[in-house]
Amino acid sequence: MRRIEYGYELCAGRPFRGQAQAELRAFLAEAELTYDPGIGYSVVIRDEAGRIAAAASLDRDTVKCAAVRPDLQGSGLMAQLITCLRQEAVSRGIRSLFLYTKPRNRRQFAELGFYEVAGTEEVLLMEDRRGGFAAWAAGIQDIRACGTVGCLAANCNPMTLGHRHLIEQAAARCDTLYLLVVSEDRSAVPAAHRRRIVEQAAGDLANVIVAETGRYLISSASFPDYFLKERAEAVWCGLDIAVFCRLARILGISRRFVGTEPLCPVTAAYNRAMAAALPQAGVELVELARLEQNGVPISATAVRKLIADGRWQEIKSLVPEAAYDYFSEEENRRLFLQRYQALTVSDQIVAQETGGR
Amino acid sequence: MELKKTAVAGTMESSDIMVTVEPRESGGIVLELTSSVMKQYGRRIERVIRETAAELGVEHALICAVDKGALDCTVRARVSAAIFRAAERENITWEVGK
Amino acid sequence: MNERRYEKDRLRRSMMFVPGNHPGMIADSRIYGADSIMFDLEDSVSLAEKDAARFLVYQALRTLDFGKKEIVVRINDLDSGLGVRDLEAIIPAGVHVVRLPKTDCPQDVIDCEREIARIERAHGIPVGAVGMMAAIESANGVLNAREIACASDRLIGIALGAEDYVTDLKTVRADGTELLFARSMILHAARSAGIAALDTVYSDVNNEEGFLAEVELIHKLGFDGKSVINPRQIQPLHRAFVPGEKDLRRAYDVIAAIEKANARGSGVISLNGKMIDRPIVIRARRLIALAEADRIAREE
Repeated sequence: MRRIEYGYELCAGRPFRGQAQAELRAFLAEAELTYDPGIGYSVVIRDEAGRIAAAASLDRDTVKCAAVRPDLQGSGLMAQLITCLRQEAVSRGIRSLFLYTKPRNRRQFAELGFYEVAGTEEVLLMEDRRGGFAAWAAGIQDIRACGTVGCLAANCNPMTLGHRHLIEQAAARCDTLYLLVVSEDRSAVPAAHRRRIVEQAAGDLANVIVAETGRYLISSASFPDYFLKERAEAVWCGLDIAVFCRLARILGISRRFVGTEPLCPVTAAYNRAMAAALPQAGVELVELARLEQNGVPISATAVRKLIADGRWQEIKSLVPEAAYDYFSEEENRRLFLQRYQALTVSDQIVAQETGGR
Repeated sequence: MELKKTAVAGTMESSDIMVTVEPRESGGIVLELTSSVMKQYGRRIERVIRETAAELGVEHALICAVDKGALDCTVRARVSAAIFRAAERENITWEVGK
Repeated sequence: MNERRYEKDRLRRSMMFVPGNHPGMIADSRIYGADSIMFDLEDSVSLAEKDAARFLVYQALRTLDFGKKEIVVRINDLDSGLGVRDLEAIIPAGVHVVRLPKTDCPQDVIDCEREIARIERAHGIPVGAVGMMAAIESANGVLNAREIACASDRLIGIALGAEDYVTDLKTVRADGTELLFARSMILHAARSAGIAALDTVYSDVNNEEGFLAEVELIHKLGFDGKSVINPRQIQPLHRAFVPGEKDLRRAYDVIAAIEKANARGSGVISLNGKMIDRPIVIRARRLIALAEADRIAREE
């Protein structure tokens, strides 16, 4: 092991900009990684000559873009970087960290206190809590679950009659349905409010158990989009499916329900990937036809647009009563408008991809 | 001692140990230890961590520790520092050495 | 575990700085053969890590066996509010000598001594068990050197801290000319008070030639030793302070001649036809003591 003693310098950026970011991008490109625009904090170690020797970054609670120059691997630089990221995370009130890396780095990060959540041949998702995933799954598990267990995941931003239709159809095709509402709070309707509306609007379906996707499924933690862009979608689809398969084993899920996707090519590709991968894990993929109104599927995007345009009364025919009641409150509409405008264009795209139809 | 927030102390550099302490309401001390010398010293490190937490009156917490071959005194120091940080306390009782 | 009371006079050729928040360096500090080990809670520790370093040095002092080495801790200055907290941890832990940084006037020493005595009493430690040394790092400090050196019976020595000092003087570290006045002042003050004079660090660890030249200079000036930041500097430093074979033989001859003269009751002493006066005897005794201390240190 080569000991790094003198002349090495550690610097942090929140995040780096300008020339410093350009240097980091070039360094990452050498390691076949792409700088992720979501990065909020980076640390780099420079050698005596000022060249980047190692770097790692934080996108909220997720470690990304971590790399050490090949000639310096095994010298403890990554340990220094992860130490810094962890200190930064704790100072920001983040309790636990996720990490994306290539499967060949599994051991290196295991030695730094990371445990595998799930992985594919191309990417590995790790977390710094040994029992993190298991505890989350145990929190979802419901003792009432019996017979054929199914699962449906949706953002419900906000819940529409289209969602209600999907849930009814799915619930009719299994004995117990886990309905997972996306937890990631990047949508115009706050996560807690989305869930509450779903609970009210699906409460009459006795075999439906409402839970959340947490930090594991369809979350920003499962977007390793720093990998080369042309592969990005396939990579994250594969990983998300791997995470789901692990959950399915624990919860005994044998059916995954999705709505047919005639519009969004990304979601369509995701559904195709699931159709190919799930049977290997003993899970059947069931595609359900979407509810149409006037010849087009009911879309949450259209509902959001109406509210944003101040025509919220017009959503009455598109959403369940609980959602309409929610938007009848002026305060909720004000909150919605604030968040709707604040979301960046890219976040809106992410929100749509993650099931906000 | 009552823990108020999650806190961390130490590093993952050689001979050190990085300790994260997270407040819990119940469940006693839950310890997640990763060590480069797990086979030889895992139990010993775990004992020192638990002893230190008990001496400081911490009843419930999640303690995550990544050890890189730290001596007992280092383990004690890092666990103490993390706990005092988590408790947001500075009035430490220092004792005369043995 | 470590001997509690400090020694006023001892071998202090090398005082090795060890960053107080670095467990690996703290553990390794025992093996490099420095005469004194100085754990640093001040400049090598960032503000956010002061508490962690204090815990680490406290636990190390209580637990690790440092043999007969002198254990010094450099605390933060009292004005920062951190210095007293440092003292509260390290005194019960068993430090031998507290190094007070940025000493500008005798009052700084008196204030620190009062805190040390208070903490000693609180823990039932005999008052006066802990020694002190003062680092002088400013023009004011240099001009007050004699008063500082005489400010407390606990002082074992005064030291030059050159980085802050040259900044205060509006200059930079160079060939040593810039430090000549400060070194001379500190040396005179230390000798006047009967305590050790300790030189500053040489920070360019890769420049061995420059380091040796500086060591030769301070040895000639009369310093007792020097702070080091890298273990590699310890052995060359010690070699420069160890008397050569020839000098040592001559010193033994001097002492033998004196003893012979004393036995004869003779007043006049000469060796090989040369008069031996008092300074020659004192120097011979010192040389022998140094060689003996070095031998013991190496056996450790």
